[in-house]
Amino acid sequence: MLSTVRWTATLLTGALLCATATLSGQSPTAAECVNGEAGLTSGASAAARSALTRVRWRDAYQDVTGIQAKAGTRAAFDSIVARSEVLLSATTRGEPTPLDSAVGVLLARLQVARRELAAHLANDSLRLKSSFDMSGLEMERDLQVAGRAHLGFDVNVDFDSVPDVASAICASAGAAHAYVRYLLKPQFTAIAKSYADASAHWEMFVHDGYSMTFLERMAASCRFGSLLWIVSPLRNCSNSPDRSLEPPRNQVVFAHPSAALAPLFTRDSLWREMVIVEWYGLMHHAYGATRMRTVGASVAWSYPSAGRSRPGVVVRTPWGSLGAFDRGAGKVYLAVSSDVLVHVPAIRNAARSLKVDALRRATSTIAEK
Amino acid sequence: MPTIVYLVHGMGCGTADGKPAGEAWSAAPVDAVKWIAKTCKLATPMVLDPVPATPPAGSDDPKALWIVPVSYHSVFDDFRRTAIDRRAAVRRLGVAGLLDAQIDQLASTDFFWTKCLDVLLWWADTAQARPNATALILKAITQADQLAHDVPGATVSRILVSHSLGNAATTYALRHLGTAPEWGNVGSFALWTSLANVAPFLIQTPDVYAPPLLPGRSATLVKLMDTVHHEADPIPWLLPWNAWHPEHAGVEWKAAWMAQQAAGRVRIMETQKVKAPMQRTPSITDVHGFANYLMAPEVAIRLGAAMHGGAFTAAELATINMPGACSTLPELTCARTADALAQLKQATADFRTLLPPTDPALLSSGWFQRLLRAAELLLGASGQC
Repeated sequence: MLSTVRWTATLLTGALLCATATLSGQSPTAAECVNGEAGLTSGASAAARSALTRVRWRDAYQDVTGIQAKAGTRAAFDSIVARSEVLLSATTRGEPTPLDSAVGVLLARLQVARRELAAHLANDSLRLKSSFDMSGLEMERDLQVAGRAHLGFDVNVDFDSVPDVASAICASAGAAHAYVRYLLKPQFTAIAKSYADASAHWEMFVHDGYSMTFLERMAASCRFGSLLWIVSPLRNCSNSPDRSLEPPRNQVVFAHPSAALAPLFTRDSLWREMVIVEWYGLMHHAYGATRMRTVGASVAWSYPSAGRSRPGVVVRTPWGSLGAFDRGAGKVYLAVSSDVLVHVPAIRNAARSLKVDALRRATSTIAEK
Repeated sequence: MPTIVYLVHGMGCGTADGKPAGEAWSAAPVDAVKWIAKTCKLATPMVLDPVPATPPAGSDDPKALWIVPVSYHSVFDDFRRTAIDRRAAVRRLGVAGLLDAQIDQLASTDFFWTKCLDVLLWWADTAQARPNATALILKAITQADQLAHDVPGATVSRILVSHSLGNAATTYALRHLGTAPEWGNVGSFALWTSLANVAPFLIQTPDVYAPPLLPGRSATLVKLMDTVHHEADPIPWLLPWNAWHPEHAGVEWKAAWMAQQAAGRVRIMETQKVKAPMQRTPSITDVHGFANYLMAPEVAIRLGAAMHGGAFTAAELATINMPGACSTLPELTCARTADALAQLKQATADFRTLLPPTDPALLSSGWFQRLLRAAELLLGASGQC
């Protein structure tokens, strides 16, 4: 028992010594620093070690955000600047180093950032304008020279000459940059949400909504020249990448086929399957969190599985389409789109199947008629 | 912590009938990145597919690596699923100068239907396929980034790796992302590795090269850029005079790109050989394969260095021995014609010699016909091998 305890203690002591040697015995590297793990050489002073843990973002995060909560954003950033100055002073020991120029640039950029931050904050609230450029305080990797990173895009920071100073520069810039990224989290969240929303809306539009036929897609993509302006007058012919990524909210439909049923209530059959082709119409889509709602109207033609094709109109409601078609002799017959039946749980799957089958046959049906 | 590696796929990740494929497109590229991490003695990457609601355990480790496969082929699969008459569908794409024989070729061969069609749809369908694909790409990128920032005290690095059509899709997506000044000012990609880049054939020149995609500037989205082509891959040479290169960046940006190339922030690499991750067998069409590109030693070591946080020391490089590690990977062997790869390399060299048209108005046209020709070369080589 005693030998086991001794053996365990020896192992633990060995492991501790090993870990200490790793932390203090190796030179800090540029790679570690850009990954947020700035370190110091074994020759660094205790003051420098203490200052580093007060600057390095993963260690200082709780402290700095605590200051922000108590004293505000400006105070928190000022604290980062002041801590950085202490760290730089502790690592340079007040003596000239080959990185003096980089230190000077860093301090100047921290002051500029401090002023910019103050100017962007309204009454010390957390609202920060997005034009606050921090790229000069970002540490950039160097993939060609080991032991070197870049402050911003233009200042070399060489870790081989004075590694502790290089680490101090890297950690200070990293903390300031990371703090501003932390402040901008609401804006980044909003950006991410806008893309997630756009993606979800496309999912609704393509799979659950009105969608676009291929002809409509090509027309809306301006692939048919000026002759087909009529097909897609709402199109945006810009190919600029900054155009909206959302699916259309207002959509002109053209030659848009869909499956439908016309109630018969005869002895042979309750209803008749048909394809409706909406030749021209206007739809408006409203996208919700999980569903989209469409309203609109179109001029259409019905192609029943038996009997003659007939002209009519289709009114689109959030629950599906309702068509009224000329039956001759002043009579009309009504048809509902298969979307409507999807709302009836008992026949939901059958309605979906009908929709798919009918759409598959649409092209050939129209061609035959 | 963590470093995120985004993998954006290229053409041909769907199936001919639009139904789900047996193996995810990301399997081989993810294996390749894991192999790079292992070879470079980095942390074992965590694969986030899909992006979870909370950061995976261990994400607070400064050495943590995330791999995020970015998929958008579903927008093309939707088309394939509903296209009853392939020929009619292709005709409606409205590609100028597309011959009936080419339409037949595209419609009748699954190899063309799954690969070339993606490119054509992304280019032609700017109303649905392109914005839908772009939203999917940016959703994945921003979601993973948000998740990384949920780790308290995190400093996040991002690396983009895009392949083939994925370069055009990523270029377009980054340009959209750049309209949000937050990303240029505080968020950026430490490295963008673009493999077999076709963006200049599908997008206008300023959109390919103008800021915020130009490295070495304030508020840029891309800190470093590597562009890679395989010596036997014809796809990056659809219009050789317009292939991705700083010299083709246009009057306004050419000098700036060349300066960044001279400064080492932009690098163009040519790879050789055809390799596959362990337990996989390479095919000759993998000259255009995502995983094969990643496992070229010059690409792997740069990507490894970027994941590491910077260049390796001479001692580390000696330990890693990337060329030696690459030599242990499964390599292409052709049973039918031993020098099929050499023949494809020669055919690609010939493919690259196309001269630009004398009429400036035609400089950006004809790429799709050349894509079909390039696919023919690959298919022919496959038959030879």
